Amino acid sequence: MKCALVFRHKFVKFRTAVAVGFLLLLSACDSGTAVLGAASPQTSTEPGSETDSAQQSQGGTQWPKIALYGNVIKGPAACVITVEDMSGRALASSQSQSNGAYELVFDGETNAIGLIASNCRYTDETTGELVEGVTLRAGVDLSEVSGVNTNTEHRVKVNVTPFSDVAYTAALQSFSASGEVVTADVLSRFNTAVSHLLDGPEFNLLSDDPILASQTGAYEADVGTGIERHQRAVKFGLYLAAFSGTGEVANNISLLAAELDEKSPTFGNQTADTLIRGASAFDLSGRNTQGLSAVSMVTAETNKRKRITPLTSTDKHGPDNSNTPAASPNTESAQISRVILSVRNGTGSGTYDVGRDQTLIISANDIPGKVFVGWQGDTQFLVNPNASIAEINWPNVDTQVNLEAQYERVATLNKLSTKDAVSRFLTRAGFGASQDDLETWEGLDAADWLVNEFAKAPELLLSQTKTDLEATQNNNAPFSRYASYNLTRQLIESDAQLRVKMTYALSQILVVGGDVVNNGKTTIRGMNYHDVLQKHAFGNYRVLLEEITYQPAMASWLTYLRSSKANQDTGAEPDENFAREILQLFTLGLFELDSGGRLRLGSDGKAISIYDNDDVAQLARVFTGFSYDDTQYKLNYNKNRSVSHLPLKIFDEHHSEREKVFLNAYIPENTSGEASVSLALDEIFSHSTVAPFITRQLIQRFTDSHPSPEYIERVSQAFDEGRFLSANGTSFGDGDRGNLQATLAAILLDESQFVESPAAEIQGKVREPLLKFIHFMRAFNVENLEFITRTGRIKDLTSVDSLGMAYFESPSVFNFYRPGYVPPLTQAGAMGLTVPEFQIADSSSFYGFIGLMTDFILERPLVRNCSDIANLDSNYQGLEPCNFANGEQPFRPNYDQEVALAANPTLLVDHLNTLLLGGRMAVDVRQEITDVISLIPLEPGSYDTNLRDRVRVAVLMFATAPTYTVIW
Amino acid sequence: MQRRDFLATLAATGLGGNALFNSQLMNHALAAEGTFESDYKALVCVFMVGGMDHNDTILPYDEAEYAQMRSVRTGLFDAYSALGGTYSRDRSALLPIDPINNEAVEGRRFAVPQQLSGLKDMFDDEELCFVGSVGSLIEPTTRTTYANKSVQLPPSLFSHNDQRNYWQGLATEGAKAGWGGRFIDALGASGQIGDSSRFASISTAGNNLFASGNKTSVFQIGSKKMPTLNVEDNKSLLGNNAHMDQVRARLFNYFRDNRADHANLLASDYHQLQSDALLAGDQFRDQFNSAAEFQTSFPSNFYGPQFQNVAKSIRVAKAFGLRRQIYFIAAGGFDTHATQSENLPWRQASLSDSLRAFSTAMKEVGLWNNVTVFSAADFGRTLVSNESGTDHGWGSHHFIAGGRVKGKRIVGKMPRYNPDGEEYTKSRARLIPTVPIEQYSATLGKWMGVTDASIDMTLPNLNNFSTRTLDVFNS
Repeated sequence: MKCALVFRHKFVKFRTAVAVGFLLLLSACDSGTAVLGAASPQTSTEPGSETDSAQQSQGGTQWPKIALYGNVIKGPAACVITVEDMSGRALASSQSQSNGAYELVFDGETNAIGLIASNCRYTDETTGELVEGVTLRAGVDLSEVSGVNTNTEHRVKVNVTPFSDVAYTAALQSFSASGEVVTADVLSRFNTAVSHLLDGPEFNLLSDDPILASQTGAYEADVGTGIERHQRAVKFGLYLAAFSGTGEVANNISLLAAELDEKSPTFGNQTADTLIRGASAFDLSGRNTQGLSAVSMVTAETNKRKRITPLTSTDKHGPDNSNTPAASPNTESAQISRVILSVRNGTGSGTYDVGRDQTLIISANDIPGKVFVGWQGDTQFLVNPNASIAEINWPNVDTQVNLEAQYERVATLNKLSTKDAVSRFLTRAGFGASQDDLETWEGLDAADWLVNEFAKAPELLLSQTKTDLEATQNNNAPFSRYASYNLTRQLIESDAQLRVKMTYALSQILVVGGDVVNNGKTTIRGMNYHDVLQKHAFGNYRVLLEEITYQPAMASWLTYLRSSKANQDTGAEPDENFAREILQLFTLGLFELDSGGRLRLGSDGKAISIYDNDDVAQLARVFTGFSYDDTQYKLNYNKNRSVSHLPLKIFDEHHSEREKVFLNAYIPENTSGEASVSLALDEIFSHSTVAPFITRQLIQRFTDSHPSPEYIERVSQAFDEGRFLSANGTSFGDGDRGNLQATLAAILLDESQFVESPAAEIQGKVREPLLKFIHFMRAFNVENLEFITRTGRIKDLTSVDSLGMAYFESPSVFNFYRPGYVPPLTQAGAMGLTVPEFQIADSSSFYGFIGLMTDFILERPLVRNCSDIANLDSNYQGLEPCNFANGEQPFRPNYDQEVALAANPTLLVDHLNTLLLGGRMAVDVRQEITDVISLIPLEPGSYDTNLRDRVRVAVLMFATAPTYTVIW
Repeated sequence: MQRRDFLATLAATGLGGNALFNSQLMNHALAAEGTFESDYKALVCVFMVGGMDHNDTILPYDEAEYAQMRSVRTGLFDAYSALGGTYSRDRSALLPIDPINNEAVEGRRFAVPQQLSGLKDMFDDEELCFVGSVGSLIEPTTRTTYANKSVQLPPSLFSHNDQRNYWQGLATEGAKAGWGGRFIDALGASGQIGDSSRFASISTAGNNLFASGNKTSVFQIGSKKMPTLNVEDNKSLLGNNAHMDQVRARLFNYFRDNRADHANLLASDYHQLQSDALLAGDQFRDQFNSAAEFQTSFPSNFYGPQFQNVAKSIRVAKAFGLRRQIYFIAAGGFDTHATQSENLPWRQASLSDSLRAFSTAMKEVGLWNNVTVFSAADFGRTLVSNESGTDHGWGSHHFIAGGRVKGKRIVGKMPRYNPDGEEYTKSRARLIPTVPIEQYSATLGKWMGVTDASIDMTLPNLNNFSTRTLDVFNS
């Protein structure tokens, strides 16, 4: 057992620590490990100092990334959140939302940290008063969070509450507080723990609380194993109960205090007194019954006991501040005043007792891709508000000082300075770089690439499909095959890479599936649906919504084609299918989101449903009366092919004449169909949730499987404003809400995609199999597409060697995978990250992908068993896959450049690493590939074949590498 | 999962080396001899993706009730009549099902359409029962308490993805562990899974919530033969010579390697998923692909091959030393908003015929008493139809079949057919469940041997209801 709960052991450690005069935070889990920690902020003498012994002593080690998230709860409180190590050095900061939710990522610390929520605004539950400027804190001993070690990433939930603040204060005097507030059964847990503390040699969860221990399985998906989690819960329960004010607990605390007093007078007095005092001041809900802030109360109490450490000279930070204001009449406070300093985007946050001859220094963080432009906030205290390392004029009264470093993006943020950068950018923005792209775009700005792409015209497929149809005069196969053939060819061949990629992305949001697009006689309407997506790919989302609403493919797919007004005779009501899905999938989802895509919470603490079933039933009335644009409502589809792809017409006599009341809309009775549709879409589109809901999914399609709220917020802003200004000053969008050029530019040029950040190792997009396949086809200019795309091999979803997905072949309107899918039993899943594409990565999919790529990369015939060709013939439509001339292949990747390098395996691997992966492949994997292809000797009789074999094997290894699947 | 934990798991389950593993496997097979048939249990979930129309599955057969249902679904019934033949839902075309416990349904009579003749036969043979009015519930709910929201309601009712997840895992989209997988977790923790726990949870329909646990990951067998990697299996692809043999050996390890770590979390996850999939596949494939075929033939429709593979997999469970397994079978297209009369019957027939073949095959190998099959779907559908189809509902009717099932009975509640009745929500008459999913699951979990404590852990709202389980199994 790695982490036995031994309270007594802790206390022993603590006493040792006190004896050397430092306030220490202890690790319960690594017995034998040195005591960890540093001086508290209150005794820090060098705020903002650039040196940090703990950091330096670990120089060269790799810090794990820690993502902290949770809520600030005192009523939901909006605060500045700063993570500090115990010397008061800020590691990262962020802002909690109005609902109290926050999230931030940092590294550089694996032991004790403090979470400081300062500048909080909340509405007092009791008085209804708006309270501002409150600080609440929580402490976490990361060493107790299971698995924190090097080379890993962790997600830790920490709620900041009055309890945690009190616990934090107590921790400063004793040991670190827990990572989580757990209220269940606190009292009994507390009593059990206390009785064992007093009576037994140690507290062991397994033997002392078997019921609790037996529940471990339920929590394993959370941080730590169940037992570790419960150990933390019990420990925190001690604090929580201590401040609960119940008589029984208070009584036990007295016993505990007496016990501790015997062992260590200093510790016992300090801890027990604080606990008892806290217990009398807080009720179970965490409300302070005396109307005092937790901070001030406990601080006042502890300060009585605290020995104020004389502050050392701060000469090295600059000269004494001769501008110090004159001492106040109160000489005591003139000598020592308390400064509560909150520094956002910088170091120096903390609470300081400052003497008149001392100086406080703050320092702005270096943020890659940004330049510091000045401080904002209480800049009157700064000697020079424009300096990134700035000196504070300490006020000689107790003061709270809030400062935030301000930045601008550097103008060269989006510059594609290397071939690797080009490759990585085009893999996100498009389908990967071709060999030519690497030459063309090196050294240019990614914004220029976007401008270039936005100018490219749509490449529409309807007319080609019509021509094919007329040539065959046959509604059925092979017509449908031509359709999927044209679709797939466009992914591989189109020069309008971004437009096609956006069409592809939209096809996974505004989903219309296979049998409607590709099936025999329905091909025309399917191709026209594709064309509508492509035409509007750089247009406006509101306009696009209206276009698709009138599309026969959509109406057929979501069954509102000829959905009629309620029929009194048959009892039939309008079909609700489209009404529900346009809300749930195409615009809003289910719940209100803030602009960062986080759930807004209602006063009951729950997510706010945007609509209920009555809204859906009412909205269903809007989508009635749609049929083909002809004279008759009930026209036979087959007889009417010439209009079957045209926008539908609403037959008002079949359109519901009743009123339509949904969301905040009221459409009066007898409103015409077209007017109703327009009003309904306006109402839906006006909701503030549209931007985060849609942009989060677009981001997932291009760059990031689990985008951060900040990223979503930046893109939502571009969507809502219809405009985006890139770092180099290029303006995108027309200013209309829903502009997709601005949205795309915001996604693709976002700062998170162009700077190395600590969060990068948990970022990235898992590419779906089709995207990976298209990347290969484009990177090597695969020729003879006629054969490949007609064989059905690519779109066959049932074959063992299959991609498992094909363009416009989703099985349902819910797409191949859900944007909210969290993969079980993965590191990502343990962190609660959404990874949609993992939903189709079942254990057999790897055979499908590797198998299909093998056939293409190794240039092998797609028909395995040519003796069986008679049975396959219908799939090949006149092509003869088994009857190629000697040496000819059914298709041919262009490996010329690679073959030219293959005599030197290292050069070949380096080249592929740039072309396919933007230089991201790990060194040891590159070495393995080099070694493997070196096994293929270059022999005189087969020199050219040997070179080509090296290339094929190398490409196969690259295309099956995890770094090919996951882009970042 | 941390890398070292993952590796530890691999080591513990013997996924590390094939030759070694196979000899272990033989030993397990021997050790299990004689106890397998008396101990082994497999639970098979058949999911109807999209939400099947329960009112088009079990229809009223008493004339008055039949007429009442027909009156609120005129268009739909007329469409069936127009198709005629076996499609007809005219009363005379239906197959009556007469339960032993007809007092429980107040002597009312019910019937199924002809496409479900296989289910009817199994019902009559007392190996299948129907469960009426099952669905997502947090606590007992009525028309009134639903309308005035005075009870806790399940989240995101009527939404496909969320209710599908709720059925499978009692939570909405984003949930990671379903109740089937968590039952396996619990059985594994108490040592009841047996060896090769990597194959305790098997799917023919890809990743799914039902079969995923906090420790249990789903193994996908699909509906065909288990694949090999062509580059390994077909020497002609790379070339049949000594240096290419070396290359192949290196590629074999490269694809399965889980040592090469990546700083990026997602890449690391992907690598581990692939490594696990291939190593587990190597281990399972030979036994599975070489398993003897059944004399029973399975229909080649969209459920048949899945049932066939489940049957084959159950047949080889003994060789893997497995004592408990769950299976997940699914097919889509049940979201019949329109032209239900064309889309539903063949799907029903597929399910019915395949299930019947499955039970026959299980009897052929003497394992039918060890297997329970149950149905599930996103939700039921509205009693009041739209013109040619039905919309998203809530409660539904389902079946439980198996050698230990007390068959030819209807448990749960069969509602009346008045759309304004207490059994329905006000809008479009969506059936309010009376049997919570958790009661349905607890019944199945109990049969699997999951302890009450573990059932309570898995099914958080079970204790909000007065009855824990349904009376479905012979003890």
